[in-house]
Amino acid sequence: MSPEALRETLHGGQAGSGRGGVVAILTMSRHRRALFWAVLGSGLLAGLILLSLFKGAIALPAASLLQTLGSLIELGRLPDTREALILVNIRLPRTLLAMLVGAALAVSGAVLQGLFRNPLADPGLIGVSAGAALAAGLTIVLGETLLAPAFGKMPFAVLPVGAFLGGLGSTLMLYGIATRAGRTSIATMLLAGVAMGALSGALSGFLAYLSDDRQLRDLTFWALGSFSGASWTKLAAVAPAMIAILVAAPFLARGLDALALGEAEAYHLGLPVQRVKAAAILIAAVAVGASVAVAGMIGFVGIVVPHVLRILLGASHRLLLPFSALGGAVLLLGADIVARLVVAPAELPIGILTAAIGAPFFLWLLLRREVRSFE
Amino acid sequence: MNAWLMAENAGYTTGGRWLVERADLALQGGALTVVIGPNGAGKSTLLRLLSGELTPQRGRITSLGAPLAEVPAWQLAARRVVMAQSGRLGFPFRVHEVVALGILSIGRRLPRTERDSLVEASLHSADMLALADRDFQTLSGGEQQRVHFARALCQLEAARRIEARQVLMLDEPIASLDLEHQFALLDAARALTRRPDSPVAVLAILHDLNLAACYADHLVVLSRGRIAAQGPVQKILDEALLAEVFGVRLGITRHHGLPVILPQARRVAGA
Repeated sequence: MSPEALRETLHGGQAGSGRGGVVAILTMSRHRRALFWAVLGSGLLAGLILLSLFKGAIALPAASLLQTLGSLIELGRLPDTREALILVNIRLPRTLLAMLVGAALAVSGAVLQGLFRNPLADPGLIGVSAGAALAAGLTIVLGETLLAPAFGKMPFAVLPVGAFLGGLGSTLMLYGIATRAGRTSIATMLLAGVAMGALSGALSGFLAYLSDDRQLRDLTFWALGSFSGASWTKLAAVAPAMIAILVAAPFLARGLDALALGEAEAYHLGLPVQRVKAAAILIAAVAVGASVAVAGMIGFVGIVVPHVLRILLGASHRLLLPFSALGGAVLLLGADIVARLVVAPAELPIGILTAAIGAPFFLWLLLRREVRSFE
Repeated sequence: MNAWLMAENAGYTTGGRWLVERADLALQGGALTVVIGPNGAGKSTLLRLLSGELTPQRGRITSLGAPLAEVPAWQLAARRVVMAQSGRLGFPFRVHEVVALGILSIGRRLPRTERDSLVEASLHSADMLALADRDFQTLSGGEQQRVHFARALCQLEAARRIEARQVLMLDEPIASLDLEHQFALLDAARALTRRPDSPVAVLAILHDLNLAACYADHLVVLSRGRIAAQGPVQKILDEALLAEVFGVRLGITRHHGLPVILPQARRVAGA
């Protein structure tokens, strides 16, 4: 709305009269825009889900899905066809996992950006993912030796816990280094993130020397990121934590909005600042840890999705956080479909794909001088 | 009776230096208190102590008799509202959204129509309604300052329903404003202290001595972390004090009993 139009509205109604006032109109139009994008985004996601189930190295005809569904309802069990097995044991968990990881990564990006008060914070960029991957690597290489006597084989659920602790540790360290007397220095944050990412990478590389062939393959998978190993077991191991943080994150919206002004100002406004910060760090660490554990390092989702959403819907975290979940799911599911199709029957590690999209986007951000707060 | 906000022998030290050494100050409704002093005198530190952002290492600061550290953040947000000096934002919030941040905590239970009208009235008071939908980051420094003033007014008004004894703290609120808006902001601040029902206590840090003399009911002169003088403007502001605190010898004339500081009448030190 132009200033002229606003003034016009103002003269029509009385200032401060509430309903019909300028601010009421602005809030209303924002809600309408949010509704529009919610409907569009959900439609897009639904379409991608269908595409993800049918397309792949082996194309499944729609009829086979109906047949599988019908059999499931009629007989209460899956038909013994190859199509049904692929659909239920491979495509479905993979689709769900891509959505969950995308949502978790985008939300963790939005939360970290709110915490650091800067649109450049991304779990991949500031070394949080690398920390989680290092801890995951440690778990693979050392966990086997330490836990095998007790369990015979290392239970998969140990991996997300390890990755979470790695993500938490790096976030806390980064925050501690970058924040002095309540002020977060962005330059310090980015540089410390680069250094910590490099250190984690070096240690991960060292792990590669210690590991056997199978462990080495697992480690390589972490470096590039992929959903090719998706299974119901992996989904079950990380889904509860991820769903919990996706539900919890929107409750941080108020606190992150206030933090945008600064920590002192947020306190002046009446927010329990320390609690908000602790919750933000915990949520980001859980999201990144769980994502890295099941899909490896997938970069740039956390920076691209919130940024696009801020352009479409504004900066308020009340819309940004739930929409980041939706946007992240759409982006990563779409990217996974592309990763499966471009070099079929082989497939591209999805981390390569998101970096190929995300890195130019990031450079474009810098060129557009969108990022003002380089202090 | 307890003052609304009171500093008793309060001091704050960091890096081996007392930024505020011993401050005794009482803020009471109906008075506009202006703090002046040279750069580095401890004005902002004093304000940050009074707002609860910093905890004094010496003495104590109380709000309605209770030490600030014992008052929960949400309750303190109803009793005192702060407009700090720098107000940059990391994200492209709209002007009306920035103002609405003022009632993010204190006004969370209010119905939406009421929140909207509070934001609208505050924007109107700060003469920013016409720019309500602008990206805050694209505003000029003075416009940003007016938005933050509107945000403070919004919080103040919403919090009034909870607490009648309110303190408004302004840290160099007119530093980037043009002349018209300097007067408008200070007039608005003074009007708050004269509000017939529940008058506000205002504390403002100013640099312009003439505006300070013109608006202050109570003047506080800070120098090297100490309160060099405080009291009514007519009584304390004279050439000797200015020479001692600011190191500049200025001529002072009187206009309707109020001191007027004339830069034209500056005498070179030692002359």
